[in-house]
Amino acid sequence: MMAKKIFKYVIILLGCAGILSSFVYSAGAQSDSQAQALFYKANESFQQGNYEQSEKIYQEILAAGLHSGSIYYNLGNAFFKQGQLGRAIVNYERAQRLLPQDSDVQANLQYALSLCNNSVVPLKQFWLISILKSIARHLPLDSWTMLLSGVYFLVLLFLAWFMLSKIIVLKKIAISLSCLLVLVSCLWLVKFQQIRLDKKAIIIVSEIDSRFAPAEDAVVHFKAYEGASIDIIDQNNAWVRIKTPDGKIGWVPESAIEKL
Amino acid sequence: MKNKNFKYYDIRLVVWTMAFICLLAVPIFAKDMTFGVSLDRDHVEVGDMVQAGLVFENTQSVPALQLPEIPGLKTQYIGPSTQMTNVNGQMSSSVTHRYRIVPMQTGTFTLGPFSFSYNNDNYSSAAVDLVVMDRGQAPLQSSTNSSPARQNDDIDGRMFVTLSSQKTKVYINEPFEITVKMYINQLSVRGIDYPIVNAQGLVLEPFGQPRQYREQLAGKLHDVVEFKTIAYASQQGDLTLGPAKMNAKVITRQKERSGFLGSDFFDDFGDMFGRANIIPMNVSSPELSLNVLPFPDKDKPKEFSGAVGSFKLEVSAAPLELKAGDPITLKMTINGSGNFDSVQSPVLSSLSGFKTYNSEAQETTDNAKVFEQVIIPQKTDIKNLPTVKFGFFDPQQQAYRTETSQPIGLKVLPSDEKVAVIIDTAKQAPTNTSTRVLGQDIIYIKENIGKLRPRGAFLYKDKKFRILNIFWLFLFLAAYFFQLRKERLTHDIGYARKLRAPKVARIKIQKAKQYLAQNRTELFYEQIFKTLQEYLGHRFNRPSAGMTAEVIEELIDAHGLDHQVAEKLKDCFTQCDMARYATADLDQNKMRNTLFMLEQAIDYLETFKK
Repeated sequence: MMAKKIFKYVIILLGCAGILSSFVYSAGAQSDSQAQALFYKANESFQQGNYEQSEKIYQEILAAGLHSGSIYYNLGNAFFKQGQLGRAIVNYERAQRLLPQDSDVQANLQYALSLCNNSVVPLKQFWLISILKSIARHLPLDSWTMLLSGVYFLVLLFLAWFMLSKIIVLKKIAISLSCLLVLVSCLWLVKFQQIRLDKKAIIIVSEIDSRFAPAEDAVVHFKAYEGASIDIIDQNNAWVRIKTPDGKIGWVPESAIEKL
Repeated sequence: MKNKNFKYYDIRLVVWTMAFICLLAVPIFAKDMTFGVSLDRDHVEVGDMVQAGLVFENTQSVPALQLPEIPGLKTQYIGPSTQMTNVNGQMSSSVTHRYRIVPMQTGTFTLGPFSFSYNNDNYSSAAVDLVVMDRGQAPLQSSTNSSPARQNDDIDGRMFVTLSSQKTKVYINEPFEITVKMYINQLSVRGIDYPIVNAQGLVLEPFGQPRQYREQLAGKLHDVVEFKTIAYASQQGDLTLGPAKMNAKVITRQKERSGFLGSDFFDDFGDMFGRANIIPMNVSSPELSLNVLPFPDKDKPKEFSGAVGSFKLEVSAAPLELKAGDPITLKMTINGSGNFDSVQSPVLSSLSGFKTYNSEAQETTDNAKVFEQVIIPQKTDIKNLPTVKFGFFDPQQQAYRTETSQPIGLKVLPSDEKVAVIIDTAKQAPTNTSTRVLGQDIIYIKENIGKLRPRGAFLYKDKKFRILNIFWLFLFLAAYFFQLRKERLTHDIGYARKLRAPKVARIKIQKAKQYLAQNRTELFYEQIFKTLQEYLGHRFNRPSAGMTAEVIEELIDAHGLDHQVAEKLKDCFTQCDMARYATADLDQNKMRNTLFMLEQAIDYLETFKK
């Protein structure tokens, strides 16, 4: 009798949680008619082959402080058609962060990368980090946040339910959900680190000498090519210290890169 | 038995220790022996004693020599003193045979050069001058009891650092040697650190292991610790190298040197008996000027990418017989001397028919750098590998040079599979060939703008989202505490009764008040009596029926009840007893008073913790 009563409360609580969550989660999305209008105008320019014009309009939307995966994707296409592979890759990468499952974004990014003169063999990472990174890549950060919040809610719900009803199955479910919570937390942290803490950038000039010191006459260490993904590890006035995926470190002018 | 084991262990320890010391000693004695002469002072007065030493480096087994007769000087052998030093982990040893010299007349006397044979080798030393003056004319050279400040002044002149460069005019990236020397004259120095050289616009390799030797400088024998490294200029123009700074600890003695036994016999125990001063010293060298020249523009080859030195190019490839589309690994080795950091991958010429990948530096040693590059022949008519060229600037010849690889033959067989050639339609027109042509281009733009969000806005930053998640936690904690209380009420009867006591009392008091209003004395006191019994029973978890005025005393002892409250409770019981027998004596005032006393007592007991 008591268990039935508790079950009734749980159902009510789940319903409330669903309504509240949908209200909170949908609050981030915005509709802006002006941005929409600009987007269609930019698309029109693109269709007419006026890639430079369309690029400027897409940039105008971004300058207004709004973004979406589609804007970055279309902007990447505009750059690609102008022959600016580096900038196209930058925008495809940005689009991929917002639309990680979008096959169009992936295809264009892969195609743009294949046209670049890059054959860097990245350094091997610890296997666990590699696995977590490959899983985390499949969802955007907000989706991981939602998932984490959902699992957290379920863990608390099942723990409370077990406490009140003493049904052993609920305890087992709560423990399993706790393990899932730990895993999702790790994935969320990996994604958070990728998006918010990593200082990723792309080389946007066709070829740049990476030097031992932040000076034009310093010794050249290696050459970096357009489209190469690099990490920024330091900055000195108009120079940035970069690290390539194969572990090489050098200084390049800031104008030669674009941060993601 | 235990004692015997201990002895065996003891002997074994000694043997191993001796063996270890012998092993340590091997490299010391393996070095070349050097021989020098030193004086503790070079200016003395007639009749004063000066100590001369014949110093044998890298050995401790050379016997004492008989000094030749020098007119005007009396010489006498004092004895040997041995020394082992460790500078940055490098061991060295020496033996000094000491002689007492007493000048009998003024003038300048030259001691040496001395020569002798030992183990079929001949050794000779440099000469040193001893200036002998009249009494009262010689400068004071050393004072062992001087103040620390004075000691520092003395040390400053006897310990200095020099910085020298192999070249003063160099090209950008040209390697050149720089040398830092620390000179020490008649000082005991420990803990010499590696030099720190100020080198703006230069790249310095780490210093190698230091070399130790003795050097005659301005008539004085100095111990020298020499550090060498290679430097490269990364900027052109006039640069300043140095100063080179070195830290070391100088150990000075507090005792008179010419004391009992007239030797350094007790010096070795100086540290142990606290008679030594350790003075940390930071010594700097003068600066050097360097002129860094830019690369000449004349005859600069197009393959030149900044490499400086003298290099040779070796090229090998595998496999040399393969099918079209299979990869060939090209191994390009740059040998020679120079700045290998400036060496970039050689350049491949005539790449027609090949698909190429970036070259990768595989390994760099002191005199070689290896690059590997993957190239894929696409056609079967290719007969040779592309020519490899490497351009560099040779600073010795002050000219550019280009190394070119010899032609390497290649046999390309037709591929087994039909290759799907990927063509960018944006760049190339369709071709009419028998192979199937796949077009490739970017996928078209998106028509829908998608979910617009403010840039940098993430869900985890949203306040409402955070509050919602905290709310779930509070809800959980509420459920937890609710369950905790529920379980206590189930299992702890005393606690449950204690919680129930005021509720029951409140109901019964209401009933009593009604009786009071109706002036029903008997029923009122009966109600008061029941209230008292039930309340006290629940409150102290005892049977309610057993609660009487007599039990109050027991409660005072068991729970430490206040005596005034206990008296009130007793009075209530007494009033209730009286009401049974003499109702007429109890008017409404007395009833109110009883009710008031009961309420006061209950209020007190509700705040009472025990």
